Amino acid sequence: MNSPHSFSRRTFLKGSLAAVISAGIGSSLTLDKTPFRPAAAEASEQVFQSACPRNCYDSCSILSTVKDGVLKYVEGNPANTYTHGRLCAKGFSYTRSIYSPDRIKYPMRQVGRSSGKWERISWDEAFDIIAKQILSIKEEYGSTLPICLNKYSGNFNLLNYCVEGMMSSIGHTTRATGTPCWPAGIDAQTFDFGTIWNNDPEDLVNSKYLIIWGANPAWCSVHSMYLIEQAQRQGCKVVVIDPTLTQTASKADWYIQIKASTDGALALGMASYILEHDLVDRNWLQQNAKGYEEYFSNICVKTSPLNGRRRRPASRQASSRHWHRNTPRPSPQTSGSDTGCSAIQTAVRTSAASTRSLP
Amino acid sequence: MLSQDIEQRAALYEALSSYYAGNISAGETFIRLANAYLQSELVLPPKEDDVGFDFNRLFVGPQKLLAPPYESSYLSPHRMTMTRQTMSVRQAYRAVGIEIADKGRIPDDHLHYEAAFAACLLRSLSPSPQADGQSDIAAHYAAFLRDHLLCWIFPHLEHVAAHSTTPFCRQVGKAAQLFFTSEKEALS
Repeated sequence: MNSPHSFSRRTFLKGSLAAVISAGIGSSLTLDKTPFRPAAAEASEQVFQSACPRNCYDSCSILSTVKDGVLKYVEGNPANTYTHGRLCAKGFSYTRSIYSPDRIKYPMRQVGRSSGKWERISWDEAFDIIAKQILSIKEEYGSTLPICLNKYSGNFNLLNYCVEGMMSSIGHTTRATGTPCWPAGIDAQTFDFGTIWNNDPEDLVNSKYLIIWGANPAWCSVHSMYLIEQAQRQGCKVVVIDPTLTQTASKADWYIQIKASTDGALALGMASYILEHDLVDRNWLQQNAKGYEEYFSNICVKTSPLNGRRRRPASRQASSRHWHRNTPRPSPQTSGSDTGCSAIQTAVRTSAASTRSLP
Repeated sequence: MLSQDIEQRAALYEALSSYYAGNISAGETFIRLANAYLQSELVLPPKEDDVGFDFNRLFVGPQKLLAPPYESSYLSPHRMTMTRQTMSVRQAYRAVGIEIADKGRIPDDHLHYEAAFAACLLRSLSPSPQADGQSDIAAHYAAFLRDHLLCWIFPHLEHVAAHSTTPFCRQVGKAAQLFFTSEKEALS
């Protein structure tokens, strides 16, 4: 009689390769003490709408295709009139972030700070450690103020804001306030418009003269760049002010390369020019602006020659790109560095190479 | 006798699966079983305190994994999990009518699951090869080894050998190397 185990292991493995593979043998498998269960019907493909929370200006509208619980790919939502169904490289790579083999999957605790020795702990253990630490701080200091919440950009999703509610629920806590990256923007918008208020980004298309100052939308706000180019095709003149010849600068009608940190000097020079040539709408200012007389006085002080030296008025230096091109660069002895006026002399670089004509 | 052979191999796969699930003492069992099955004389190193840290550095994180325990990390173009390679493993499970009970938490091609799948197939073999579905199960087992486990386990174990800092993790890797070499020889 042939024993069921009379053939060799090699024969078993080789012979089995030739066998016909068919489904439906799940019922004959022993699943006890295994991490498996009988398979459910495969879920159909679903498409979810979401938005990119990375705190880019564009906040792209995203369509995520999920099949059987797996994010297959993401794409831009073509229905969005600003992002036009396009994402940036970071957006398209979302699947790589969530399915990286290096992604942290469990709560972990480092045993000894900077030791590099990590151990897995359970969620309950993690919550317990944190809760006990909070209570210990409260007992030692008599309040929860030593607990500080410091968060900022990178992932402005719902959880990012929920954490504030969670922190408030434990008592008075310390919050890091302010912003690490856009105080200049806040000030500029608040001083210019009274509050932080933008017009619709799609309104860019209607611009006739667009100054892009210290920004590189070709890389950092790709959907704005599309609108900028559309405006340019409609006759808008695009001026880029940047110390670096960026991708955006390369597409500008006029590229002004300034030295880093001389933006203030250039701005004063421009304001001075406007003032000198009386290009100010005083009626509008009277009706809408506060403190402009003080501002004008300040411009005069900032841009006036110092130490009795005669210098070319800042406004003319700032306004004339030919000035720098046709005139030798002032020597350090005569240019100085402590006024907006003198800074303009070295700040404004409008070389022929970086300027192109309107199409 | 094949029944004993299958029993031993199933136990080896189960111990390996348990070890890769984070039950480090199962590594000890695996070395013992490997010695018994392969008639090898691998020394059982002591489990020092650092074994858990070494294990996490190799297979868990939180830094870049030194020996990722995922098939896709070795066979996918960008090391990504849950792409075509992982899905082909999911299909291999589905082909015999099963799926991971906790699906969607850990990629299907984690060695914990792949070893458990191999053990599950071996354990489901009836003592009688003529019984219904037996050839299918055996075929699935061989195909899974040929198309999946044996395609990536050796590069993975090379990473273990290169990066483990404790004799224990290194020895478990060595035992696995011997076991899968034996499986490969049997298959070819």
